[in-house]
Amino acid sequence: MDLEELSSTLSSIEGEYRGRSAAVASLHDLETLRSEFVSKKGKVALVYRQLGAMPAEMRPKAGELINALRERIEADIAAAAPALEEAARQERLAATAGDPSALVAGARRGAGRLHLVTRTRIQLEDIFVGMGFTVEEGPEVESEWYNFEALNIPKYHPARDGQDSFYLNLGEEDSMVLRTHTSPVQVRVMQNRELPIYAIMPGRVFRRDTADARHTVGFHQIEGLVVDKGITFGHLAGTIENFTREYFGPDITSRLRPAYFPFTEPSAEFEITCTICKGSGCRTCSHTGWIELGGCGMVHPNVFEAVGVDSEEYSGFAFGFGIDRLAQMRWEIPDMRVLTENDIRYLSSV
Amino acid sequence: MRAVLSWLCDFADFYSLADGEAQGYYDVLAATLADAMNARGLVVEGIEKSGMGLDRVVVAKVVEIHPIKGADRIRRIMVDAGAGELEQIVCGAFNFSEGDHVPLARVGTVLPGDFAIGLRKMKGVESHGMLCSARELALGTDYDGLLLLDKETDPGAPLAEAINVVPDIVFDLAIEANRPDANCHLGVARELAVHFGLPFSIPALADLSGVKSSDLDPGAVRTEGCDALLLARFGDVSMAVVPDYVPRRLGLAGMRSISAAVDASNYVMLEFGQPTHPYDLAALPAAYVGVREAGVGEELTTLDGKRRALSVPKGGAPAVDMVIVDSNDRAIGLAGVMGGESSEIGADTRSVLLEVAHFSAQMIAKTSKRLGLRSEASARFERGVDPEIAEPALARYSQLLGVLPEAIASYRRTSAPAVVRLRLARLESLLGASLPIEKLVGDLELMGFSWHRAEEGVLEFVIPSNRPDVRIEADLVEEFARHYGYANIERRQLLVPKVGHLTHAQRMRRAISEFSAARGFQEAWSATLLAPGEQEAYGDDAAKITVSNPMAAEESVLRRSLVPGMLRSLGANLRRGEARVDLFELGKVFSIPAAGADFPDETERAAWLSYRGDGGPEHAYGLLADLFDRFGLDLSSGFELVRSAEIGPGDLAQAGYLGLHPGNSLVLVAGSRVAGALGMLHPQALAHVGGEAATGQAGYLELDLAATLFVEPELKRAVSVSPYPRAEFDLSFAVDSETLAAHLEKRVGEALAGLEARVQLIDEYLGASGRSLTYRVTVAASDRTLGEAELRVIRERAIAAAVKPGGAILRG
Repeated sequence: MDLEELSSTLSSIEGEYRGRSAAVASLHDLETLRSEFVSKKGKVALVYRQLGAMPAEMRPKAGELINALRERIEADIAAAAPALEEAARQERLAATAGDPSALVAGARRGAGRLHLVTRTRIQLEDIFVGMGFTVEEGPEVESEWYNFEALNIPKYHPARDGQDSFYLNLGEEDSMVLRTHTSPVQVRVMQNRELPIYAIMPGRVFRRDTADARHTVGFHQIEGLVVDKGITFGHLAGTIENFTREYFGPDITSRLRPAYFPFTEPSAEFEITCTICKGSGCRTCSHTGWIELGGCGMVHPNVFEAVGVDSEEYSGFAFGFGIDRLAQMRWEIPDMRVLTENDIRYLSSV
Repeated sequence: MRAVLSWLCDFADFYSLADGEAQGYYDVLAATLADAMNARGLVVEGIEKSGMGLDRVVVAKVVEIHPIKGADRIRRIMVDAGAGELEQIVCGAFNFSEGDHVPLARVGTVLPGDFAIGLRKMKGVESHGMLCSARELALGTDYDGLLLLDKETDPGAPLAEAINVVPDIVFDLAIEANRPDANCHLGVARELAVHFGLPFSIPALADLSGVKSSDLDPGAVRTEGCDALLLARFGDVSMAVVPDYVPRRLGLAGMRSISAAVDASNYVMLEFGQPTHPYDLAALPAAYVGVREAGVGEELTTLDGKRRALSVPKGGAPAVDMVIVDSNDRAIGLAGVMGGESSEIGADTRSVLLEVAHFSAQMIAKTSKRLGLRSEASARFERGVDPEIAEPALARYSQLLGVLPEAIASYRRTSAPAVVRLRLARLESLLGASLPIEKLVGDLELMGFSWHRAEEGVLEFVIPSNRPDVRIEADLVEEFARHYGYANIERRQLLVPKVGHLTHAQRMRRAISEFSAARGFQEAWSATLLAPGEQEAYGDDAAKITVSNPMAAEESVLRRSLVPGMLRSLGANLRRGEARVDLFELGKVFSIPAAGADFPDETERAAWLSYRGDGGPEHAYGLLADLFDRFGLDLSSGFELVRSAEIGPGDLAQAGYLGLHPGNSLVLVAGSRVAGALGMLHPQALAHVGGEAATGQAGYLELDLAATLFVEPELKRAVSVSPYPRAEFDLSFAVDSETLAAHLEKRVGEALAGLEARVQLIDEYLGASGRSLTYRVTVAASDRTLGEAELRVIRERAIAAAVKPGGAILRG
């Protein structure tokens, strides 16, 4: 092969390339072209291999011609690539375009919710933990000693009435109950923990009551207990007020009025500004501007005695109220029974 | 109790607390008194105005009564209300007849309780106003029918003038159980008089000093349960008339007027808190009654017509009921609770024997509870009646009847008054306030307390007989606080000398709930008390804790598993047409106490239920594995999963895990203890709660939290991951249907110990040629790239572990 032949071979390759290159429509085509013409096994390389058969003095010139063609083709391919790459990108986008909101029901796992009572409990716990309290627990099945006796509720006390308590067929008659309040946890905490005590005790309790719009058979209370040296009724009032403002907001305040509980003396009922009318008077608060929230008082000396705390050295206060009731107020639940029905439409709606 | 303003004003001039000339006088007065009552612990639950707003209510004479077609609850009444022509009213009451005089509220009247009377049409008949009951007019609590007026009243006359209506206010008070003294008008008035600093006195009583008095025959009182018995014999009371205000006030206080002798008795009870009992003397063999304990099984027919067996031991314990007996020792009443039928006062009664007694609070409480019989009297004796009020009560009774007793006989066993010391320093340190001691001591004096200074800073109080609630120093502290005003005690900041925190279990409870919710599960709260047989339906034959006094049978058995409640919730959702239900719950389950223990085995569990009408529910094993991963626990160490068939369905139920598909469930064992169970729910269990609606499948996981997720994972040192490339190979094994994929996976994983290895099941094939499991194994070494030869060895090791005796067979 002489130079002339070479030139004509190269121009025929180039011609072929030009022809093919005009028809390139994709990166794939371009790659095919590159592979066919300028790869190691491509047409240009094949020509190059024939160089060995040429007279030595022609080789530099021939090499130059071949390389020039390769460079031209490579430059051409490189120039064509960006547009094709962009086209490819566009094509991929177009192919994967869609409506993100077109979600088929079964494809969505969905998110559940915590029960309203749980959410309320957590919020209450957080407020008191923030004040420095710990959270204590006790059993739901209690002995009559913890549920009544140690709390200064002796036998035949009206508060012990079988009307209100579920007694269990366990041990001696009337010796075990489903706890009717969270107060027995107070007794356990005073027995088992080092003084001083700053604790809250949330939990499930049971009353022998027909379920209706305002009651469920089981419900939840939260109890607070503080026992330390120098604890006063003023501290009780201050703590109730701090809690009230933190939980209900700055518009709502608290007040205490005399009441009776066997396990506290002095005892008080605590009321808060009506959350519906903010104190101006409405049906919810019987036009008083106040709604009753819970009971509280200074720990009764008989309770201290039952658990062996020296009431001359230590004093303390306790308070308690309904968690479900707070949930009812917050979410304006007309019928408490929805809380135990577990209707997923309801659970997921609030 | 219902406290009537005019009645309270007999004791102190509360009318003076508001400006009598001012607009809205009664509203201001009511609000002023209500605030004071609340502040003193006499909780006002309602305020009713009576005898006000009746301007447009007139007397109407019933002239004609016509039925209304198609209505059997209402009638068309034509009345003469002085308009010159008859007026037509539709009325739903039936207690009157033609010629009766009744109140008519004309159109435009606004009755108490903001009840506006408009022109109404019922069954096509127009009603030009409303005929009213006593309650609708706030003139009493009676609403059984219309208020029937004296026939002397003039039709058309304003009602207020015709029946001399007196404006009054009724406070509906909730009196705490420890304040029997405040459960009568005398007590409420005293409390308020002290509050407002008004002079207080008991209105004049009949003077009984001239009445023949004697000590009661010894032996009349034969029980420790009665410490005072006062008997008064009245001659002819058949013509006695009580003052007008008696039936009116009784009506407002919620009691119906019956007869002078009975009204006076009720009035005295509501005024002084002392129950009394009038007997028809003609029905007694002698003008004498006594008190004794009833013999075991002795019978008595009480006023309510029920025959009752008395002093019947309950649960082996002796029971003592007290009876009032006549001179023949025949029981004629249940002491302090209810009279007997035989000596009831009636229309023909002429002479009366009045019993005024004081009984042991505890004995009355026991009797009342035992017999399930409560009355106004028993409720008062239970709480404690003032033992000193018997004589004034008798004097008031006589005064109201306008008849002095012919003779009085009395028995009294006196006891020393309670004396309580109060350290003033203690008082102030418990309340956290410095108090105006002198003023407060003065208030206590007005309440009937007397005192002297026992030593420096210590006062000794003699407690009045009507205050059984004051027995220790703390009670006096409350009394001082009450008089000072709770609202006046300054709030103090509590400075907590500790750091608040949650325990690990408490934090975990929250984390588990949040995790579950994020996985799409809704938190449920299901019943702790189940129906008898409910757990048995899911295969639980174990003994259960039951309620001895259930409200309803379906709430009488403590749950041993969360399954029944979760299934109930599922069933309810399926019946509402849901096809996809994911629920979780955290709650306690209860088992019979272990031998020697008093308390049941009370365990906290968590359960997850996932149901799909079609398609697969959330995978219980995947959920378990994810929970363990999330909370840093290792299913492969300390825990073992076995098919439930291996431990036997009976044993699984015994452990309190119920309702699972016997051939498609696993038990999680920790040590030797069942710590959880998971898998598919038994199709029968689904059908049990869902019936026809339960067409799908449910996955279920229940865990004993203390044994699983509440375990605090050991702190692990941070490890560095291999920087070398990972190698990957798949292994397929032919296995029988009994082989657990999790076991095979664990065996393969264990064989690769020392390497950074991951073994994942990527396919389960169930076909004609049997079952096969394909695992993808990914391995890397921490210090080198694994070469081909080494990988071959690793692969052989993995296979060898899998095909161990009884294990799998490597497939091609």
